[in-house]
Amino acid sequence: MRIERELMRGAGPVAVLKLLERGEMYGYELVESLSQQSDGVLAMGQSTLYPLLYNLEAKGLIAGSWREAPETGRARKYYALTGKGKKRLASDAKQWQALVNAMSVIGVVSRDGKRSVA
Amino acid sequence: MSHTQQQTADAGGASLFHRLSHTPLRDALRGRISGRLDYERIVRGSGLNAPIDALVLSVVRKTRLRRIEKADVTRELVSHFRSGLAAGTSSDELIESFGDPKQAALLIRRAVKRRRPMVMSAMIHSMKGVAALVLILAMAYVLMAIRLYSGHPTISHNYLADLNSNAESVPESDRAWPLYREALIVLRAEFGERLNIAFHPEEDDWQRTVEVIERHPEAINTLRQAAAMPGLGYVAGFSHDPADSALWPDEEYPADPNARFDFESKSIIEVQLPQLGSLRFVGKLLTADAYRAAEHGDGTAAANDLVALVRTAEHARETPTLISDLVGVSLLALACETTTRLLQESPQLLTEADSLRLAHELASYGGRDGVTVRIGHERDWFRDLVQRMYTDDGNGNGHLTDEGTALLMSWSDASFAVPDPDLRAVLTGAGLSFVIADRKDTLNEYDRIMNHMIAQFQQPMWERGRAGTSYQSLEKLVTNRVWSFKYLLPRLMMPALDRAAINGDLAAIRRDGALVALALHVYRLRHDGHWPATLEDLVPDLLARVPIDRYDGQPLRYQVIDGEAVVYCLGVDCDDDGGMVPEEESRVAEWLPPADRNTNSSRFVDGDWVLWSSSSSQQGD
Repeated sequence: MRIERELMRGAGPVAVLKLLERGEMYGYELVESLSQQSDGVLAMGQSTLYPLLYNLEAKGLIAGSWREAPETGRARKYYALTGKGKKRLASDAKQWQALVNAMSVIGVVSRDGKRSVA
Repeated sequence: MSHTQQQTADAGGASLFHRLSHTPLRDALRGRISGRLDYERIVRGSGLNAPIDALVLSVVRKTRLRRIEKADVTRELVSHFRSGLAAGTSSDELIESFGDPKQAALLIRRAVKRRRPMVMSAMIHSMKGVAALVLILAMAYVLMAIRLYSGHPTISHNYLADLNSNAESVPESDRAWPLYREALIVLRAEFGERLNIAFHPEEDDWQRTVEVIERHPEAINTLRQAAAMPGLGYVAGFSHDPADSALWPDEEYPADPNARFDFESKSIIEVQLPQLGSLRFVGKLLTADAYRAAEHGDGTAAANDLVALVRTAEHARETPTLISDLVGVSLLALACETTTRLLQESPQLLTEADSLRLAHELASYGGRDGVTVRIGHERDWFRDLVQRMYTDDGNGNGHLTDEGTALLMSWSDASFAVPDPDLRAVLTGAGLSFVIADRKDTLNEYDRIMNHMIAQFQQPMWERGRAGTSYQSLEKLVTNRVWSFKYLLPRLMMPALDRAAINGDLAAIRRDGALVALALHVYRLRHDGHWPATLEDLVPDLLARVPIDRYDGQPLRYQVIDGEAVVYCLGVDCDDDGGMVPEEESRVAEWLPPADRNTNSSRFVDGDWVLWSSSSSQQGD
């Protein structure tokens, strides 16, 4: 299932921040992780990911650094969560939780994550 | 391999020049020709396949980012595709999953621009602003240059013909100039080029002057005959008249006599008025002959000379120019000074008839205009210049032309730090045409100031300057930078008209003094040597009315002190000092507008301007 662009615009950044909370990652790795861990729901093209990463970097929520990849010896840009990024992630996570709760109360989604039947 | 090494390696193999041209300045300053800005080379050296190379290049090119940012994005995308291929994803799948390249380029561009440091953004915006400004200025300059060079002046009005209309209207048989010329050819040869001539018996060359005059009584008589003619009839041109070649043998004369009237190629500002210098010389000769006659006790001959001198002054006014009027009032002042001096030095010289004849001539000077300097004549000179500098749209407007800017720069002495005149014209001409007011505006501003000045000078002298309009208008032209550029032409062409016009008033004061002196002289002849008690006693038999003291609007002052008559006006200090001649006599016959008196107190001289006194110890100026 693909998520509408408007919804993805809100969900993408917090999803990327969440992934980076576990440790630094490079671009392709993030794409793959998003796709696999969300069963393809949060899969985004690279044309979306890299601008998203640059925006997060511009806001100081993540920091990129070039380093050699251990397996190939070639340079890769790794992204890591900053202190500011951690705070934002915590804040955004609360908001998302509140949103899911609200959606659940009004019956848009069920507590177990299944879509509610009207 | 470090990132920097990787960057340098990406650029390996290229020529030194190529690498240098793709090296950031900071690397070059450190002596490292990294060539790391060459994103195309990064792609080609990536080892990826052609479709991916094309995709990456397409995206990066479309971002339109700075070269260093493009190189950074390129490396990241190359790294991404390498990782994808290494993970076993096919090239087609990677390309498909990448998304729309155009959309990607747009989003990447926005994101990278947000990532830029604030200083860099400000710098880039500033540079863009400066570039835009330069471009706008360049385009504006081009448009101005097109406008400047697209039009040319049209000489539609012959102002030279206007200038000569009075002279041309004098019938040949009534023209004085041929007679003046005939006499001057003889007398100039005697006095030489410098025309050294003594005015008064007390001067050094007096004896020689008398000898020359007495050697040529016919020439002096011819001058008197010339002065009696109805008009001067001197037709001015851009060079001397070939008919005058015997008078001015050293001048250049055009082969074609009509060439001196070629108004299409020359402005009337270049018109030659040599007759004015000659008339001044005539004035000196007649003055000297009046004193010579006085020495011989021939009052009638002296009066004839003075009458002739006043008529010569009238002839000088024929060509309607400011300078002509200045020469006219100068000659009139000479006649007045000679009259009052003769009345003082030789009280028995002039008969009643001679005195009344001379008084009538002095009173008639200027006709309806009176004793004045007509600054309005300058309008034609200005309008002639305007038609040679501006285009004419047929509705009174137009823009400055190349010819106009060249003229302006030649007058203004403004080199604009560009010594070569042609280059200066190219560089500044268009700018000048933009800054300087258009034809209509220029003429309106000139007329506005001129009208103010004329209105000012039509007021009585003692009230003049209180409104201060003309002075303020001129002052704004001179002191306000914007105005002084915008109205550069009026500023350059608006001479010290106020000072010039004052000469008319000062000559009128002298003329009034001479008329009162003549009236007092006749009264005394009629009353056995007694002076009148007041000037009112001269009215109406000898004076139509008592002349006004132009310094305060009251009647001229008159006193009889120890049997000597004194006629005076207040002088520059506007204060009645009882007819006392100041120590610094030369400055008493000045005038300042009331508004300027408080700020120019140091210019005041304490005393009165004595216009005439029967005693030699009292006569001023």
